Amino acid sequence: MIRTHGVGKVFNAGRPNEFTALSEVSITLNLHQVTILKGPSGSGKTTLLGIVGCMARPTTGRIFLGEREITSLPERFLTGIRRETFGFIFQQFNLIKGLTVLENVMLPAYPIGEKHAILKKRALDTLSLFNLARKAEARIEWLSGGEAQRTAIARALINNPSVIIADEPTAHLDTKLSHEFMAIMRRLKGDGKTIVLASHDPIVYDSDLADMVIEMRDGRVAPSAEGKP
Amino acid sequence: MLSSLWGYYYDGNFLANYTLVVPEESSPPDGSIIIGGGISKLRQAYRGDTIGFTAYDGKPLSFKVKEVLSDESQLVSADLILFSESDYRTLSGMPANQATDLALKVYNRKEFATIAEKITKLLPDTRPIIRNEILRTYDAVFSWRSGIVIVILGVAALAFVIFAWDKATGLSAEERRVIGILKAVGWESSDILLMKFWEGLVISLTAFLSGTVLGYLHVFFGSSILFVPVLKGWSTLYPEFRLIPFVNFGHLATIFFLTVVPYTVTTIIPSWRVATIEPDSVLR
Amino acid sequence: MILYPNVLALLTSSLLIALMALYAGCHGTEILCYWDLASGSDRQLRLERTTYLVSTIISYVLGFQLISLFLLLFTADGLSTLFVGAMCAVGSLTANKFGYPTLLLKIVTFILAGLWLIINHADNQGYDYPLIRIKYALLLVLVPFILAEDVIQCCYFLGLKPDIITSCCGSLFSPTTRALATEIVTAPPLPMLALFSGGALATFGAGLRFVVRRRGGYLFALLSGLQFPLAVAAVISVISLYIYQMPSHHCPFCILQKEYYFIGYPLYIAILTAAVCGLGVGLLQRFRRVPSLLESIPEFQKKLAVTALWSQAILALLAFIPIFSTSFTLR
Repeated sequence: MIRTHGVGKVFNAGRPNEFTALSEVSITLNLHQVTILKGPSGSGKTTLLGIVGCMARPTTGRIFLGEREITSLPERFLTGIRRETFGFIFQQFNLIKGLTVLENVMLPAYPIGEKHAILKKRALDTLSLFNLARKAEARIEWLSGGEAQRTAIARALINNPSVIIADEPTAHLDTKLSHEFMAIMRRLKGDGKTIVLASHDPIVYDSDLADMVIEMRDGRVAPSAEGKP
Repeated sequence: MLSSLWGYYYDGNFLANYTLVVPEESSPPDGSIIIGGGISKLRQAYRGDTIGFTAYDGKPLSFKVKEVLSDESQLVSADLILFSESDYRTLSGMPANQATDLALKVYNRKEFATIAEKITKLLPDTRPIIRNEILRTYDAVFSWRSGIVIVILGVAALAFVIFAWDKATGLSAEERRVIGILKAVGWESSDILLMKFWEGLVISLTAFLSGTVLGYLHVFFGSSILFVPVLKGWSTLYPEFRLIPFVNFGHLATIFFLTVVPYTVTTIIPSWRVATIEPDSVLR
Repeated sequence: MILYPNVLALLTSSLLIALMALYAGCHGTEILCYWDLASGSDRQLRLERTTYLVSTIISYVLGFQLISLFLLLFTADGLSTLFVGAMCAVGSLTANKFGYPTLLLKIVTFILAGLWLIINHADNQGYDYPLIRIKYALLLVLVPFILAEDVIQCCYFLGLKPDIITSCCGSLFSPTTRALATEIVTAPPLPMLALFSGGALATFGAGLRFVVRRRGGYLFALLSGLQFPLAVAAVISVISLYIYQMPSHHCPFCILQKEYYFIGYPLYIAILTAAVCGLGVGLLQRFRRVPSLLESIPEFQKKLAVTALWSQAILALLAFIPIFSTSFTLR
C-alpha cells in the first residue's frame, strides 16, 4: 500500500507568491482498491496525486511505498519506480502530436531499453485490449475522443503497472464516454490493479466502483472523509 | 658569392609595377625576355612579340618575348620579367661592379647564423638575411592575413552564438509541453539530456559538413571569389591561379573547434533547463 | 601574437570551457554548502537539478580536453616553421616557458575530469547520493586546474614571438643539455623496453587478478598510475625509435603525423584510457563499504578494470608491432 505521513507541499517558499498546496496530509491507499480523491479545484488533489505517483517530492512529511520510504529518493530512482509501478492518465490525455498511436503507447518504455520488437508486440497487444489494434499506425490528430481516451489508457498500461492514477479523467468527456471510462476502470480493478482517481465529477465519485473516497479541502483532508460512501 | 640583380619598373602607360629579375640560371639570351602571365595579358604580348621599355637614361629599349611563364606559377610570376644580366644593366644603369643584392651560398646550414654575424662585423651597414627568415616572414604574412579574416569571422560567430542561445532558450510552449509529457510518463532528466545531445549533434554535424563542403567548392572550384581581395592584396596585376584541391584534417579540426564547440556550449544550459522540467508540470 | 586560425580556435574553445568549468564550480560550491537530501525544499530540488548540469559540463570538458590536446600538438607542429631551429612540435613548445606546462596541464585535467566522471557515475548509482560531498570537493580541485590550463595556454600563445631561436628535439635531447627529457631519452633503450614490458605485465596481471578474484584493487590502481609515466617514457626512449626506424629520433609528437600512419593517436589514447580506468578502480575501492553502493561499485570497478586491460593490450600491440615487424634493430 501507499502511505503518506504528514505530507505538505509549499510552492515558492519565502517569496511573495508562496502557496501552500498541501498540509499535514496522512492517508493510506490500499492495494487492489479504487480510491477517489474528491474536492473542488484548488483543494490539492492534483498535487497529492503527483506526490503519491512519485512525480514530485513533498516539502515536509514522509511517503512510503509498501515498506520502502521514497521521500528523499533521487530523481533517477524515483523515475524508475514510477515507470514500473504507476500508470498515468491525464485530464487532457496529453498524447504527443505528430506521432502515431503505437509510438505514443510505447513512449513510457523507451528509457528501459528493451528490444524494440518485444516492446512493439506488447504495445500492439495492449492496443487490441481496447480494440485499437487497427488504428496503431494512425496519427493522434485523426482519432476521435473515445479513441484518444483509450490510447491514453493503453499508454498508461504499457509497463504493466500495479497502480493506475488518473487526474480528472472525465473533465472533458461527455456522459457516454465518462461511463465508458468507468467501465474500463472496473475491468482494470478486476485485473487486480490499484486505482486512484482525482475528480469532482459525481459520475466518478458517486460510482459504486469506489472503495474509498477521500475528500479534500484547502490542502487538507476533510474530517468527514475516509470510508465507503 | 653571386650577384643578385633585380628591381621594380613602373610602367606609366599601364599603371603597373613590374618586377625585373636576372635569374641565376637559364637567363634569356640578350635582347629577349621571359615574361609572366599577368604582364602577357596586360600588354597583350605573347611569344615572339616585342615590348618596349624606357631605360634609366630615357632611351627607349625593346625586347622580344621569348617565352611566357606558365599559368600554374602565376602566383609568384604574374608580374615578373626575366632579363639577361647585360640587358638588365643596360635598362637600369647598374654599373658592372655593383649589384642589388649579394647572394651567399653556404654549404653548412649550421653555419648560417655565424657567417651572418661575421658579415655584419666586417660590413656594418649591411643586412644579412637568411633565406629561411624570408620564408618565415611570408608565412607569417599569410597567416596574419588569414587571421584578419578570422577576426571578422569572430564577429559573425558572435552573432551566430547569440542566435543559437536565443533559439535554445526561447523554447516554444509546445516543446515544453512535449518534454513535460515525456517526463511525466517516465523519462528521466538524463534521458532527455541524451535526446537533446543527439539532436544537437545532428544539427552541428549537418551544418559543419554542409558548410565545409560549400566552402571547399567555393575555394577550389569557385576560386575563392569572396576572399580573394583580402588575400591577394592590391595591385593592377592580379595573378590568376587555380588552387589544387586538397583536404587537411587539421584545418577541419580547427573549423570544428570554431563552430561546433561554441554552439554546443551555448546549448548546454538551455538543454539542461528543458531536461529538468518537473514531471508534474503537466498535471498543473 | 600569431593569428593562426588554429591558435584562435584553441584559445576560444579553451576560454569557453574554462568559463563553463567556473560556472560548474560555483554551482558545486552551492551544493557543498546547502545540500540536504532529507529536505524537500525548493532549494534542495533545485540543487538536485543542478547536479545534472554539472555532470553534463564536466563530460563535455573531458571530451574537449582530449581533442584540444591533439589540436595543440597539431598546432605546435604547424607553428614550428615560424621558429628558427624548430623542426616539429617540440621546437614550438620550447619557444616559450609555458609550452610544456600547457601540454602537461591538458593531460592532468583530462585525467582528473575522467576520474571525476567515474566518481559521479558511482554516486549516481546510490539512492542517497552517498558520495556527493566528496564529489563536489573534488570538483573544487578540478576547476582550478582547468582555469590554470586556460591561463597558461593563453600565456603561451600570447608570448610566442616568431623570431625566437628555439631548439628542436635533436638538441633538446642531446647529451650536453641536462634535463629530465634528456635523462629519459638517453636511458638505454633495451633495458627501458624491458622495464616497460615488465611494468605492463605486472599491471595486466594485477588487473586480471582484480577482475577474477575481486582483490587487489589498490595494487592495480598503483601499478596503473606508475605505468602511465613509464609508458610515455618508453614511447620517447625506445618505441619511437622503432616507429621512425632511426636510432636518434626520439620525438614524441612526430608519431601523430600522416607519415607514420597516425599511430600516435591510438597509442596515446590507449595510454590515457588505461591510466584513467586503472586509477578509477583504486579511487572507488575506498567506497566499497558504502551501504547504498554495495552492489553497484564492484560491478562498475570490474567494467573499468576490463576497459583498462583492453587499453593495455592495445597499447602493447601498438608498441610491439613496430618492434617485431621491421628489420630495424638496436642491437
